[in-house]
Amino acid sequence: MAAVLERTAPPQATAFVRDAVARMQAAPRFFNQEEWNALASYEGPVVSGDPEGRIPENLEADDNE
Amino acid sequence: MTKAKHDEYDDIRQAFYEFLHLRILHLTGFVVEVSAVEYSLVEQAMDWRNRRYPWDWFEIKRKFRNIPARFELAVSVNGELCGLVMGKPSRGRRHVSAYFLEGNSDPSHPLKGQVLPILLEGLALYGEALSCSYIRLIQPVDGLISRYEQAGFTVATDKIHRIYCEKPLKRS
Repeated sequence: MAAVLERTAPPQATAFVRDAVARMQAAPRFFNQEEWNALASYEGPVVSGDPEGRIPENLEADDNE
Repeated sequence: MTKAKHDEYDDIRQAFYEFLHLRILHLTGFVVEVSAVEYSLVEQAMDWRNRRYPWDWFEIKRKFRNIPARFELAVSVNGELCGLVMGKPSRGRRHVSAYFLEGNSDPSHPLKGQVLPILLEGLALYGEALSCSYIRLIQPVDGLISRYEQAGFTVATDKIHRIYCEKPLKRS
């Protein structure tokens, strides 16, 4: 992990990048094993998104906050 | 948006791919290739048979490429593409959304069964990098909604009436 850090966030990287890398390093796994298994046992099509493939015109502003 | 900002997010995504590679190895034992949605991989996806939706991943990539903080992820094993995702964070960084997510429709691909949690673990890791509080899946396929609920997601509808599933990141 230290090697990854050195490679991906060297001293010349900006603080913005180094902070993001530090957060990834500290991040716990997202799914516990039970949650992981619930998703892994699904046998249907793995897909999510607009069925017609439509992309919002103003994509950058499409956020629903 | 300046080139410097694009470069910073490129650096973050490059680190993200390395961290996710290690995380998947730790969680599953699989050695996977984790990368951006490169054109050579898009070509593979477009050749998959029996796809649920005939999405044009070239167009999807084209539309997202000018968003510096975009989320893009492709997961392969020995060069065989198993799944890909394209999305982006909200402007205030409340959430990071997967707009298009697709797993290989071949029932014998190397990550069958594992590709969905792997892609979403990746979405969550990128959300952590950007200090988001939630991950969101826009317009999940009907058959998966109950699985998402089992995995801790809630289902809701946004301002323009799209169904989405959302789950908070751990530190939230």
